[in-house]
Amino acid sequence: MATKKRNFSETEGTNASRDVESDSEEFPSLNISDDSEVEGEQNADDVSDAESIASVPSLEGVNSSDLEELSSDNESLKLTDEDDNIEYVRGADGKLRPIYPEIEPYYSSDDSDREDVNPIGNIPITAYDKFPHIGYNIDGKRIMRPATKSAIDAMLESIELPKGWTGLVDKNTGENLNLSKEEMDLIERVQKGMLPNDNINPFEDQLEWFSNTNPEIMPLSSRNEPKRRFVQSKHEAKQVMKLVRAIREGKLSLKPKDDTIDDDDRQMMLSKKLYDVWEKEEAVVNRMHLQAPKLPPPTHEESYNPPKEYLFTEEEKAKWEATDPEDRETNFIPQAFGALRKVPGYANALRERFERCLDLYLAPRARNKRVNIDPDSLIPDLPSPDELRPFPIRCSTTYIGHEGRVRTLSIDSTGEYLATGGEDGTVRVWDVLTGRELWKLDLLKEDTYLSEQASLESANHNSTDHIDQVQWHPKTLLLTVAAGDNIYLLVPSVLQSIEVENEAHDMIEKGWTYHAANLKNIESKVNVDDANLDEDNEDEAKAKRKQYAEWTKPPARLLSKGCNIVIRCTKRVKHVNWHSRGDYFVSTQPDGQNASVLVHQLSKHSTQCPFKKSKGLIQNAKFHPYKPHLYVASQRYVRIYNLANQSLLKKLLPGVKWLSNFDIHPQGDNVITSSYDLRVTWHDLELSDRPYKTLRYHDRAVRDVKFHPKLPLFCSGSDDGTVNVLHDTVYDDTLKNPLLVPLKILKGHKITGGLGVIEVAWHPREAWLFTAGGDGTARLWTT
Amino acid sequence: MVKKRASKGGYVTRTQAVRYLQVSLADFRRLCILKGIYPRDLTGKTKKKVQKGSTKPITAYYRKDIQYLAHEPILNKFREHKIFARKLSRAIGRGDLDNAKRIDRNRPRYTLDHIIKERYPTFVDALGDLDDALSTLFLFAMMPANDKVTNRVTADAERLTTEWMAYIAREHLLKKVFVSIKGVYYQATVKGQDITWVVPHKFPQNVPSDIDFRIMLTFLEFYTTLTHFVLYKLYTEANLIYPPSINLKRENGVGGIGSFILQSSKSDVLSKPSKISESESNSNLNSKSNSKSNSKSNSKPGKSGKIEISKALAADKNQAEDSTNESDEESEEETNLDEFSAAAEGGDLLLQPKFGDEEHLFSGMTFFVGREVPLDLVEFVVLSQGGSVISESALDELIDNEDENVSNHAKVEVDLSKVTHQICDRPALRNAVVGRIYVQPQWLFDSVNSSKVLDHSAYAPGESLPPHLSPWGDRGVYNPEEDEEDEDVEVAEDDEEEVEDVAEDVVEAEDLADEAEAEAEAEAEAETKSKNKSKSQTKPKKNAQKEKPKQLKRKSDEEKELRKTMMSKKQRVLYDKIQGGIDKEEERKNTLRKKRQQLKN
Amino acid sequence: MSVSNVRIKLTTRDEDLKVDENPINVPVDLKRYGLSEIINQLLENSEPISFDFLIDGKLLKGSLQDFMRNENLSSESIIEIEYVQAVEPPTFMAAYEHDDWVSGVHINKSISQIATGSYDGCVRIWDSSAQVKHTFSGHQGAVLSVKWLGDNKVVSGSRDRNLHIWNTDGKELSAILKGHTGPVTSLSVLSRERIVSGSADHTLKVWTSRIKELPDYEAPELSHSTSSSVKRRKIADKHTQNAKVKGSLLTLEGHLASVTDVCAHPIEKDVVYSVSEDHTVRTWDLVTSQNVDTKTTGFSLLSIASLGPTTQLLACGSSARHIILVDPRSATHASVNQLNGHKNFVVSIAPNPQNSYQFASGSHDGTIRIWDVRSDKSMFTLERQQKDQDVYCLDWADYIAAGGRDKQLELYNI
Repeated sequence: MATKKRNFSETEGTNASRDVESDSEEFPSLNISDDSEVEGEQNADDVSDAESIASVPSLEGVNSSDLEELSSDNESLKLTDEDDNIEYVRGADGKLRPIYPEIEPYYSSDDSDREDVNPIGNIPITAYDKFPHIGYNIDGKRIMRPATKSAIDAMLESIELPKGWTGLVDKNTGENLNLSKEEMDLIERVQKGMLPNDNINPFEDQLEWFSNTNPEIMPLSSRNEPKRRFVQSKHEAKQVMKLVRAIREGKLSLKPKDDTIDDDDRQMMLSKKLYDVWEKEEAVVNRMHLQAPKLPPPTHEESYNPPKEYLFTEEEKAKWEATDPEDRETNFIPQAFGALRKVPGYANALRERFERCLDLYLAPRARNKRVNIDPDSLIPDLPSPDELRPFPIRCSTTYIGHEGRVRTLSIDSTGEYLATGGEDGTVRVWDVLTGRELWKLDLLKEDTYLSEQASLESANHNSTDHIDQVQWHPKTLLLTVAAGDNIYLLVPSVLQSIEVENEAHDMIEKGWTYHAANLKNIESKVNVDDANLDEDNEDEAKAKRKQYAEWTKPPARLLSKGCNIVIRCTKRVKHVNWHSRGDYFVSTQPDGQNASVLVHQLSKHSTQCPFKKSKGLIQNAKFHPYKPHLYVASQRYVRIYNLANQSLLKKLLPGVKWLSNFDIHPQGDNVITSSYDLRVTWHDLELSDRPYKTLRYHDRAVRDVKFHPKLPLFCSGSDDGTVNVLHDTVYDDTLKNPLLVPLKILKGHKITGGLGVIEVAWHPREAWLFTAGGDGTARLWTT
Repeated sequence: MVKKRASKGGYVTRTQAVRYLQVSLADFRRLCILKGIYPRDLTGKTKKKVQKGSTKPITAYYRKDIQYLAHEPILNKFREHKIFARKLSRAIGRGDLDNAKRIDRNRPRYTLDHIIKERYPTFVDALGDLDDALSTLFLFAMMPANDKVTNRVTADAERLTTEWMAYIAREHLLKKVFVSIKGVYYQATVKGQDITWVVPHKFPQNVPSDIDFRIMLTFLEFYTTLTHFVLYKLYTEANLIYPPSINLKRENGVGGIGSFILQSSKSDVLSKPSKISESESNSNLNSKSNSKSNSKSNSKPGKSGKIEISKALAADKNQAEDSTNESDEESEEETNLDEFSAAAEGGDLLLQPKFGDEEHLFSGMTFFVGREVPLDLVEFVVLSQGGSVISESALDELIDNEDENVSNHAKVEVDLSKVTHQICDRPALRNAVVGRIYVQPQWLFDSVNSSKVLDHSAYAPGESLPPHLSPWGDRGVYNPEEDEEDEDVEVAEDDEEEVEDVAEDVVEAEDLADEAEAEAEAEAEAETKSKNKSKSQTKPKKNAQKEKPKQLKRKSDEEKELRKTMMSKKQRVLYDKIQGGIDKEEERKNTLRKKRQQLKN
Repeated sequence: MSVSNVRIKLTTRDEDLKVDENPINVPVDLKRYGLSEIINQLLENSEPISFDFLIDGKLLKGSLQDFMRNENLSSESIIEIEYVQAVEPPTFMAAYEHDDWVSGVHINKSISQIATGSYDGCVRIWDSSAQVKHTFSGHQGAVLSVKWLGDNKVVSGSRDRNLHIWNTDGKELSAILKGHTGPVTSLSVLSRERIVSGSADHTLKVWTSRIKELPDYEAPELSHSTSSSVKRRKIADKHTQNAKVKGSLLTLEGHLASVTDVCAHPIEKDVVYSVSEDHTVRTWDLVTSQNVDTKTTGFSLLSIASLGPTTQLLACGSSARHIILVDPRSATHASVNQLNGHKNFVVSIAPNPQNSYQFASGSHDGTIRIWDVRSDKSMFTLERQQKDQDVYCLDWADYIAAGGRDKQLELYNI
């Protein structure tokens, strides 16, 4: 110890040069107090050297032994130079080379931080009070007492305390101890709870030395890994081999404890470590778990001695064998064995079990809720038909007489006379109640024009001899008949009073005078009040009108039969419908393109074509019951035109392929259409263009639909020979949808030639229904 | 990766699942079987989502199931097993056999008990799923051991099944028996769970070639474990030792339930071992009881014995009053019965079991079972109904080994004197012993199903038996023993299909008017030429009565027909489906009826 | 059901059939026949008479038990049963051949002749030997109804809107009564030779057979009639030169649809009932020619008959296949009872002249039914010889005569 100390003191002066660099080097961990500067530097210097020298071997992982050697030869060297620490060695060139003593790198042992500069042991300092010195230093020199301050200084000091004044006096030096600046702010740092040293950055990013993630830019050593890292250690290998040998020789056994029963260990394990699995059972509900359904329990059929009726008959057995195993309803043939002893083994037991297993783990499971609802609950419950009486129930009268189909029929406003037109070219009028034929007109025979036309046209289509439509005038006994290209206005003499008949006749014939008189101003009038949609100049219009239709007098024979006017149109007229007021009637001829809808006026014997261009294949056209609206049904749509201001109001889309017919509710805001593709659609004009309901209860094409003029009834006649009668309550407030209740299916018409019911008509007052059938009869259905 | 994909939907396809778990398909199958994972049937949007537009059918699993498979310890075992297999094959290939043996010796083993706990959180769940387990076990018990099915498996199964039957028989839980051509169906009610299982007839099963036994065995493996644990719990709850010890002599001989000696874990008083060889069972008992002395907490056997009795009594009571008793209420029964029996004298102890047996169907009867009758079947049924059995075959054995101690002979005489019924299945019986009722085995089954002792006259040997009906009734709505007249009314009504005349009137009064008045006229006419007419009086009345409902029916049908027209399409489809099912059922019923009519005449 | 007994008391109106009143026990399942047997025994009749039985005014059909169940009478109480001699079931007598549908028939009992009207426009007079005594042709339309006026006059109403009065002795047309503007659907003869006719022109008109009392018929002048219509008038008038053309005494208007049938009040001289297709039964007072009373039903009515003085009920046949019994005296509800049974329009009703509880009804379903108002089931049903040929007309005096679509006038004795 002492020697080292000395050695330090000697090196004082010489190391000055290195002090500088030592200053330049920074060691953050070092802090130097004011008074012991030199030693401080000394320390610094040592440490620096120690670092610089010791760095490499420490990296090499040097062990303590070589350190010892090093220190030892260090010792000897010190012994050599006693007085001065530089020894001169003659070098190869004969010059003296100063060799500085090697600075002993072993600084761990050196206690340079000891502070006592005044080694007086534990003699109280007071013993030196009489002396000027306060002790001896390690070299035996006196340590002089520091000069005590003058009173003034003391006073000054007492006035303003120096920074870091503690009021303490160093017992050794007698100086008063003051806190250094560093100490001061260290204290206040501690007080603040900050890190005591400000140049420690707690958050500095650590640089990782040996990490393969980011290879170091400057590896600590470029040296290769030593070999010993790679070769396995022989020692360990030896140990392992020893174990292995032991195991091989069976000294060391790895067998399980229950070695004895090795084969059926599974069972033993089970039976051995049986315990109550469900000791503390908590019900866990797994919502997604679907329990596999149990197998259905066996039934009578499966019994070894079942009731006789379960045994298969021959054909049942054959059937069973015929069906392939999947869709047999039992996977066995019921058998009867007289007694238990006769029962054989069941061949398929294993297979069925196997299939069950397959089902258990392969069959996809799904939780489908059984619909064990009463199927009748699905049927919408509607008011029972009984409280919706009256409606037609049964056929009361049959009108027989037509040969061939009865194409069309119409009931007059009084409800007493039924007019029918058939394919035999006759128009007949019947007494409604008795079914007596009252009047008959064979148009084909009577009208030479028509007949010759028929003969002429029979080449391309012989359908001109049909009566396509008969329609009573809404007020009087005036009958409009559409046959071939012609519309006949006639008054059947059904022994009604002359007055009535004449009234009708007059109504018809008034027009002549009017017509003959001044065509010009008629037309202007016509154009005004007739809502004619083409407003081009007169004579052109006239020319057009001519070619649409001409009102002619019939031949005498027809005249005698009560037919007054024949309207010769250009194309075949399919439908004639009267306006409710009975002055206008609209006729449709599907294959006259733009002239397919014609509006005729009875009182003026004039005809107009409301449309410039064709609207497709026109099925039927009707007037709104009271508004000046014209409903035109084409193949797909029902268009509604306002005749007053000549505009298209609405276009209904029934969503069917081919409309057959349609009808307008007497209140005018509902329309039903019938279509050849089996549908009947109900349109509520308030609601939308689409159907409010689409009814599909006919098996064949629906031919005709009609609203009852007074009662809340409508019906649809179809080619399947049935007429469906439905109840419809149309509420006044537009919020409530109409209530439709099917009431009755009237069966009776035979299907002949694929035609069942061709046209239907309602009795004006009663809930009576008239149907014209393909079987050559018309029928009356009454309540 | 599956997580990403699965996050799309709740379901994964099988390929995805296998890839996710990284096991072979076979292992995946086993895993599914063991863990009870099954594919889900997807519909609509989910389906589309899972199979991504492709229309070919896929098996989709619930995603959570698969993820929870991933954490299954068994899965690792499988992986280890794969490695093990590789090692083994390599070792064998190398030909150092002891190494192979060593490898084989410590092959990775796994247990399934945790799976059982997972799959059946409560004991009742386990019981509820026991049907398949039992059926499979019984089937395998009958299987011949071959290369695929080792005899260990079959023996294991047999042992388990017999233990099960023994338990059921002892606790008198059997409710229904049904001998079908497929086998014998039993139903027992254990802790309120109806457990149905089928026992194949005792014939060697024929093994179809196309059956994948790996699957079967996997199931069997699981079922075995399950049954083991269930039995353990049942036995311990009934205070019986599990596994029960086997009466080896009997086992080697007739086998069956008789060979099992069920002992209460505490006292001998209750343990009613199978009827034969009391002495042996006793000897066994002693050994057992002192072997079992450490088993349970209770130290003082005498007292525990009392408790035991009361417990059995309670159990019997409960089964007698209602078959579906919950375990907890049973326990409370016990408690309040405990102090009762504590108060009782020792004398009661001997009486009580007898009293306990009173409720059972065959209690007090002793059945002598002929050789030709399958013993296990009859014995099981009889014992479970409280009767006792002497099997001819067993007697033969006893007589065979004469060197038995005298007690046997003595017992034999005693038994034969006790015999009340003899069950024989022979065309005609020779040398009938007086005082015995000779019945065919079906008598037992029908009695059990009708839960009353039927009249045995119809079941005498050589008689043509009445039909053996299933206690579960008919597949559909047909009832074979419905009474005659209502049937033939309906049949008649079926036969004459009245022609629906066109435009039938809704005012149904009219037709009735017709009827009555037709009658009246007939009357009057007959009266004018006054001759008695009793029959002509009755006839029109009859069909007059029949008119009315038919009239109404037709009317309502018509209305329904009308209302159907207003159904929406969806409703109509559904309606047709349901209605179709019903109609089919009806149709079958009627055909059966007709056949029956034909058979009758 | 156990056969229990019930105590009944048998009473009757007519004296010679009386039995002792004190109640007797009979089994409940006893029927009409059994009961009449009992009475026959009580009366010690040699040959049994058949009886009908009425329990408080309802005719007994079927067994007592059913009746009691329907009427929920208690079987403890004594049931009072009134018995009357039963009507024998009618039997077919004869058929008179016509050329066309027979649409009107009227029996004259005193001279035992039958007048029929037919769709061929002829009125025929038949004698009892099924021979046509006279055939009057003159109508241009079907004769819808005929009635005897006394013994030598017949009035006929036709589709051609006219009534003709024929003189059976002189065999000539004594008068043409014009005025109706629609077919004359029905006639009814009142006292003092007055005739009431109902027509499809919604009116009734009253005429008399004393032709002098009738005003002359003035044709309504036609406002500028066209050629065709003029011709038509000529045709109409051609047939009627020789006969006197007369108008009606008075016209009863009020119906809203065609009048289908009229009948006279059984007692009152000047009261007429009429039914119409406007669903109403109207009562007319001829003195004031006022519509006294109107009863509205749910159906268009096609026929009416008044059932004699004892029960002043009206039986109205409807188009809804049933017959409603109307009590004209009750102001409140329209119909007393409704008799179902027919399958089609009930177009004609004839009361039983002897028994005012019974009447016959003819319907388009081709049957004639005989009813007793005290039971709501018909007693007998008569089929036509040719099945389901509509019956259009019906009359009942001693025997029933019915004509119909099969061009036959069929007679049944009853």
